[in-house]
Amino acid sequence: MKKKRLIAAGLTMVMLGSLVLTGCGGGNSSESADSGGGDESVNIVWAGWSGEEEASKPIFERMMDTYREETGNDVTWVGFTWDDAAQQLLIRAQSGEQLDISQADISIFNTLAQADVLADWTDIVGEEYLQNFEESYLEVGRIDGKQLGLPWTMAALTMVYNPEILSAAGWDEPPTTIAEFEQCMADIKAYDPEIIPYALSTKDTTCGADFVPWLWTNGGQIWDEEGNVTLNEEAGVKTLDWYKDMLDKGYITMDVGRSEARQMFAQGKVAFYDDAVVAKSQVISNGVDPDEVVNVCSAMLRPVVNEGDDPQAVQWGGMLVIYKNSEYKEEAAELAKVLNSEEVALDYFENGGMPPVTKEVAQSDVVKNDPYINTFIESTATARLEETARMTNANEIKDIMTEEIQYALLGQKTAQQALDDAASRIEAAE
Amino acid sequence: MKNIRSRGLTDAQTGVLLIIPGLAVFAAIILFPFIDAIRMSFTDKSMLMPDYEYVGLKNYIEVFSDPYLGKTILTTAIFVILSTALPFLLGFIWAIILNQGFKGAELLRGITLVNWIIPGVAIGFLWSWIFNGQYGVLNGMLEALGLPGDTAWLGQTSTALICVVIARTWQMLPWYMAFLLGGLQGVELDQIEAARIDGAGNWKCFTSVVLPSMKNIISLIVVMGIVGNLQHFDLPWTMVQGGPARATTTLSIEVYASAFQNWDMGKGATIGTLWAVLLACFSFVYLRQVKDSD
Repeated sequence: MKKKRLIAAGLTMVMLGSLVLTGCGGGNSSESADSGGGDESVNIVWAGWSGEEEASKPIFERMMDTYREETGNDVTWVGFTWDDAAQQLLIRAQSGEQLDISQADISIFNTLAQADVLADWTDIVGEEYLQNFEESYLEVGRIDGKQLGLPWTMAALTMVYNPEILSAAGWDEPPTTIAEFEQCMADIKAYDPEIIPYALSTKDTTCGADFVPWLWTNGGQIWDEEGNVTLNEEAGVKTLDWYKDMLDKGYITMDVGRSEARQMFAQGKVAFYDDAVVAKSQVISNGVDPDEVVNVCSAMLRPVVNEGDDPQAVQWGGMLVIYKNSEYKEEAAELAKVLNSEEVALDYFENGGMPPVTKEVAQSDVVKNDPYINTFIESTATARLEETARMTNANEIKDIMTEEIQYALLGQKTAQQALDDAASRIEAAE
Repeated sequence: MKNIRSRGLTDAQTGVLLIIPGLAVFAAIILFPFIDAIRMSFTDKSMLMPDYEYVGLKNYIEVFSDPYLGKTILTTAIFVILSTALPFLLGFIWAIILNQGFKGAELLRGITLVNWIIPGVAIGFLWSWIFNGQYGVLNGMLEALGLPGDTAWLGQTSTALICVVIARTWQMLPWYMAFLLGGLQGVELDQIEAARIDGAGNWKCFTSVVLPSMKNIISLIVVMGIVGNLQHFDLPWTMVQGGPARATTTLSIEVYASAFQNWDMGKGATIGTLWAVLLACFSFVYLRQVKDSD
């Protein structure tokens, strides 16, 4: 019995020990940084999604190498897919895991800002450094007077097209009105039925998001000036009916999101789709010479209803944000300065297509003479912030829109029914 | 025993001491989060704000007044039934074949188990590629056979859920096969011999001898399969994210979307609580089966 008690006591000790170790093991491990302090070099954590994309990985490696060389500090990249980025950044910021700086596009930026986890850049880098940026770019990252986002890359989200496909279908210039656009899609379909004329997003949140600029094109909005939901009014119904018509004619297809559209466009299987400047990097990663990109991937202004209307585009941008809980705000700001420096910004521009944002670099000849970027910059002139961009439940609104658009596209509801349901669900979600 | 008691702990006390670590782990990683989730379902907690308030039954009223709740429960039920029945039937047939003891049966058994080892997310991406409407393997094969190869399998409400069920069947078939093969190997050969002497054919032997002998194992794995499918999230999410038009939105996806996409932890916890009640019913049946089989 003594032996039995001894074994029992031993087992208990082992189990308690395991429990303690398990408890200790859940802390700040993995990619975490050195706890450095004083004058020692530190390891900051930089998070985002662009560095996860195959086409951008080498560029991001060069960015981090430059930071290491210039500052003597180290930087660890923590990456997610774009779909998971908001959630992962939020969890990481709130759980106490090290997170010093991350990229944030306009929708993710708002979510992080609402969660009150971001630091004010003015306090970290001072007003003087911020004067390097255009005021309109700074405005995108400013909420309630606080500069929570530092511009990194800014341009409009508009449409891109494949000039070679259009040319083969008899179009030397991209269409400028919706009537021309429809004719162009018909010509492309006739030229090669295997090509998807327009890879419009019909799934995930990009479906709801891409509906908005077409809604604007038809004169509608999700909300009016008083905040009433107007999505289900005439312009919305007209837009959704037009979607359905394009699907019935085979101009668009179901089960396409932004990533599929990019992939197929880069392979020459799509003539048009909606995207920002990042379209270029996917095409380059498919083997196209950066200097030849404009032959197969060029930006265009979104077609309008009548000649003379303003082409609609969504303000799109990548910002850098620093986290309130970061112990290394100064070091993280140094990384931001490296990323916006001429050498690094031009490398990202030339190889990734991302336009620089500092006044000096944006005015350089390399940028001004680049044929790829010009239309994106032209689109920025009339670009608007996407209507849900400043909402805490932007994803929920876009999900609702996506679901109801799908109901209409699949013929389970009329456009009016679908948008009436979307409107009542959006009102309930507000 | 007297000697032991006089020196220290009784057997009962030793037993209690031994289960304390297990209880502590259970309380920390299961009981506390469960109770906390129920508490959270009565709050307006959001992932965006640390502060929250108790809102009584507001979340429950909101969930029950959601016009899509019925559809979500129906989709969940269809997914659970099909994703349990199909791999069970196919797994049973495969187990019977492997139980014949032919040359190479053990190798085939090992190969079959590979599906089950692959992570769910990888399986989701694999089947998304197979069913992709534009560059999918299935459409490619149909085209090669001279059939129309332009169906957006994952983009139609009529086919999306079936595609997910097929992927789930492929994933879980080995699990059912392994259990059922074990059950088949436990069937008394004498009884089968006796039945054959009495003139029973294959079907009669199967229904009168094999199935009754495997009653316990069958009911156990069916209940475990139902519980597993009720909880299942990976495949519907990675393949179709609950779409199109909510055709594959199950309770697990609804919880994830509420909590981690819309940041509404209160509503997510409410749906999770209702989901847990459903699971508890099947778990109760499962525990009864375990008890009966003992």
